[in-house]
Amino acid sequence: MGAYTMPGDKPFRTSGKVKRTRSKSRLDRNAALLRDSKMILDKKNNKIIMVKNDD
Amino acid sequence: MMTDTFATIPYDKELQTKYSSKFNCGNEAINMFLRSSAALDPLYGKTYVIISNDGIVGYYNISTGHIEDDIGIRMGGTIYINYLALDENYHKVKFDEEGYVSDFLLSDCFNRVLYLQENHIGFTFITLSSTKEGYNLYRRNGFEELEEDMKIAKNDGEKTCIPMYLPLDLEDK
Repeated sequence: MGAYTMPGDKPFRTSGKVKRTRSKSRLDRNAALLRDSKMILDKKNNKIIMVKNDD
Repeated sequence: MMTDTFATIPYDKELQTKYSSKFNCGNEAINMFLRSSAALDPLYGKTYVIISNDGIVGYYNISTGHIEDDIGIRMGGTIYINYLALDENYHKVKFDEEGYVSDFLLSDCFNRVLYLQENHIGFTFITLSSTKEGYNLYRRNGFEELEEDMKIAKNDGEKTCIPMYLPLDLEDK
């Protein structure tokens, strides 16, 4: 015997009202912006500007 | 200096000593967490701070969890956001017509969660217990309230909060 750990016949329940997928949202857009840019605060205008990392 | 560059870094004792007492998000319990030993304790969660020349702009603390159904059967693993807070000085700072710094704090956390999922550990959702003040931030970023057949473990302090979740899988990849 080498079967040491298992959660049951399925890892988790997939029925019910739970949503398992989502649509793209502002979260994805902002996350993509953050991945390749620096976030800089323009104190004069009290506004955030994004500057590409290679600029 | 008229500009200030933000960076996200893991929180440590030195940052705590130097900056935590100045951080004020408007909620004393969330301020106190940043000053506590729990904020540095990996047995509780891992804390990351967005830092500027003036100190801590915002922070989040993440750990793991799962969603279960009403009879205790697991529906999927989660990264649980224990804390996410922004200093009051930045509450009204805008990015564009729609976005605030709080959206970017959440997006930074989201990027970290995606990195963990892609590289280290599998899970299905992000979960959290939202304050009343945080509710609109999470709603406009796609989070939903738990359905009646779903639950997450809570501690005493979270009983007045609103449990929310975000599935990570995209409909159209």
